[in-house]
Amino acid sequence: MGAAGVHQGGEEDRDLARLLAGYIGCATFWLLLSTAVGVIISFKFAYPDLMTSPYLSFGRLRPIHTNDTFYAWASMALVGMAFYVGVKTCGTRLYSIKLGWASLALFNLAALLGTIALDLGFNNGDQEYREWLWWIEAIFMAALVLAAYNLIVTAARRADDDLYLSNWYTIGGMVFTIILASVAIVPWYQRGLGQVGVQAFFMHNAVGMWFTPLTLGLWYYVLPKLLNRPIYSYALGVLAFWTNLVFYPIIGAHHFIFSPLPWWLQTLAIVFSVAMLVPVWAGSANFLLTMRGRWEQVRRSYALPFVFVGVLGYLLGSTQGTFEAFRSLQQVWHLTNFTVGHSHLTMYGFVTFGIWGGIYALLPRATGRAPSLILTGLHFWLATVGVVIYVMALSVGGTIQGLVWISGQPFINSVTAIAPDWLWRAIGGSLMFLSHVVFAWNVWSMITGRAQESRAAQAAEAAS
Amino acid sequence: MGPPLGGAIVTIAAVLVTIGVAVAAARMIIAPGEANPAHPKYRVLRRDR
Repeated sequence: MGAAGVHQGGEEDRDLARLLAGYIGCATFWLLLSTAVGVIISFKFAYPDLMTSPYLSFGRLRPIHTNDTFYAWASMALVGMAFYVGVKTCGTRLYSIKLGWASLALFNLAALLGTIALDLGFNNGDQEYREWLWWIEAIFMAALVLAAYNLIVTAARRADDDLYLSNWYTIGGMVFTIILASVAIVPWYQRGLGQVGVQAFFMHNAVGMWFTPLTLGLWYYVLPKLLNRPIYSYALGVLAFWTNLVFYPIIGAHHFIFSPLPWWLQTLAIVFSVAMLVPVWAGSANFLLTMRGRWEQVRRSYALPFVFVGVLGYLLGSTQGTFEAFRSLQQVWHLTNFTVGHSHLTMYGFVTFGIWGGIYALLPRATGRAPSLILTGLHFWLATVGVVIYVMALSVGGTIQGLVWISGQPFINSVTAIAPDWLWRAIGGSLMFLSHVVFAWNVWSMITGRAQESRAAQAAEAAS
Repeated sequence: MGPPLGGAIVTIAAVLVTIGVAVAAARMIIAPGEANPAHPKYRVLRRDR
């Protein structure tokens, strides 16, 4: 093992390992920061007089939590792993390591400036998930363009004729998100009803056309490698890719049911929300059928339990999203905390668990250092129990909240009714944050820890 | 409420597309095929370079 914490392979492998470690290390820092902020704001619901400084107000901290989770933690981790998977599946080297580092620097610059600006009260208004000022979003987009270019040129230099399925998802997600980020900052539609349409397009696609394809693309590499078994159906993966691409972009309007948006657009969003069951169920079936009969291997693995929970999160969260789109159910859940529970089932139960599975599969292989099995288990169970408590509390509380509103009772009755669930949410969130501290230690071990040849060899063997 | 005909047309078209791809997905789950060792899904199992 090398002194810098990377495997003693060729120089190209060492450079790629350092780049992956850089992305994962930075992403982990932002995970800790953004979820520490999340814990603070969750306790503000239970204790409204907690931390009353303007810099620690809910209105400023909430977008810091969401934007840093999205564009710092998840984006950096997924892009770093997309580079690694792209190189390995294309049988070539990364087009430019320097460009990879430049992207990482820009991602971090955008996250740093975005966080400072939001805390000082400078924002893009109440545009959920795009509260960063337009020029900060432009820095993020520049990072994305560099990363996409790097990955596309790498794929163009691949050894085989076929482009492996993972790269369809990662490159597709990057290209679509460049379009998405452009639409988010062009000035022509930033007022009136056009703004609502753009917001509907942006907020849902930020999840469904960015984090979803990159996470699924990661799994199409990690699962076969860890199980030493090919994906159950490659064609089903291709079908899921195209149906996701066709069905997903329109469905964001289901966040604006009963709004002044055209009724046909709302109806179309609902219909395609139902259509999304095809790629979601097909994709989930593909992953679960790949794991079939290998449950002992799943149980003993560092990474596979995270991927398994991630697949369940994808299946349950996305199916839940379809049902939430129905007008009859929106009458109950619209603007309630049920939606917050849903977003955590997807961005945490699906995407974040999926990312962890990828990190535990790839980082030991790249650096030659494995984490402690006990601490990895502790991370898994704290996060799993935490997110279950979190989602259950807000699902129950949000439903009660909506029913109280429908019954026409005074608003304060809904606050009283959901108060115990808000406390449970804070408890679940605290467990999730504790799991992140353990995860951060594991990342530190995988990057700079002492060489542990036997465990590292086992990890590399499991991932090969 | 919007024009009912427009809503009906987009709904019917979307439902037909959805049924079509759902049937295709079911067929791929029941009989995935892809037994040729040269298929790309097997090549990813090779040791990385």
